[in-house]
Amino acid sequence: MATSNRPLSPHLQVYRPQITSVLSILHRITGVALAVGAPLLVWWLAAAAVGPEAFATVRTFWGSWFGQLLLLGWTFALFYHLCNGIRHLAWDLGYGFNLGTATITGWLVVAGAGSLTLVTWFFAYSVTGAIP
Amino acid sequence: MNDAGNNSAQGGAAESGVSHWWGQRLTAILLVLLVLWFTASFVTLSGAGLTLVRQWIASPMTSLFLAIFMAALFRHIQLGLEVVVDDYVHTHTRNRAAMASIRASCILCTVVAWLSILVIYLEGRG
Repeated sequence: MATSNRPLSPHLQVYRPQITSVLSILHRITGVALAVGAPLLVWWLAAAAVGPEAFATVRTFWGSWFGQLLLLGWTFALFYHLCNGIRHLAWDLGYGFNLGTATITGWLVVAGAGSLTLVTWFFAYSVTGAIP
Repeated sequence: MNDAGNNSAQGGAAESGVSHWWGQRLTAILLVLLVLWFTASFVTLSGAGLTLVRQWIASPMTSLFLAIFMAALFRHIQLGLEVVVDDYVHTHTRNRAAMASIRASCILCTVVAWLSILVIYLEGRG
């Protein structure tokens, strides 16, 4: 096959990491992570359809420290991918390509994803306390 | 085989480069809205028992939105993973195998999600 001897990308380790390049690969990493997590959402739906025992298993898993840690990671990944995805959609329309602008919107995405994650978990815990 | 024949953007997993590109963007726009709606709803259901969760899913609006959400989500996941596989998996056979398993998994997830929503919706009415 002609594909086996293709030239590879330049060696990544000779480049100094920059906010734009780090966020770019983070978009892909969070996307793959979310793809891995999405079937667990289906598990939640299916368990709710099957009945109380299956649903109890799901609740126990998500309620455990490991489940909560996974959920926290996925919440951040979700909001990061969402915010950076909007940044990508703006680029698709031709906006924000200026290097200075791309750096600013990059930091805005990080700040937005972080705040949305905090707000979500703050509300989740205040609601959990309210439901008997 | 020439270069065009090896390019999976033409034929095969991605059908065509243009429709792949548009599919990813259209599902992205849909998902911006649906993810915000779902996360907000999911948070209000934190710690809720099965009865409350089923009640929420069984309402016509929720089950419709959830069904669209699941289809858009797994289509977006399929298109995204296809790009990742095309970037890193250059052996023809492995590339095709990865594409096929991604497609099958995404279809399976959507079907299981749809069936679950349908069951909960019907039981909620009956």
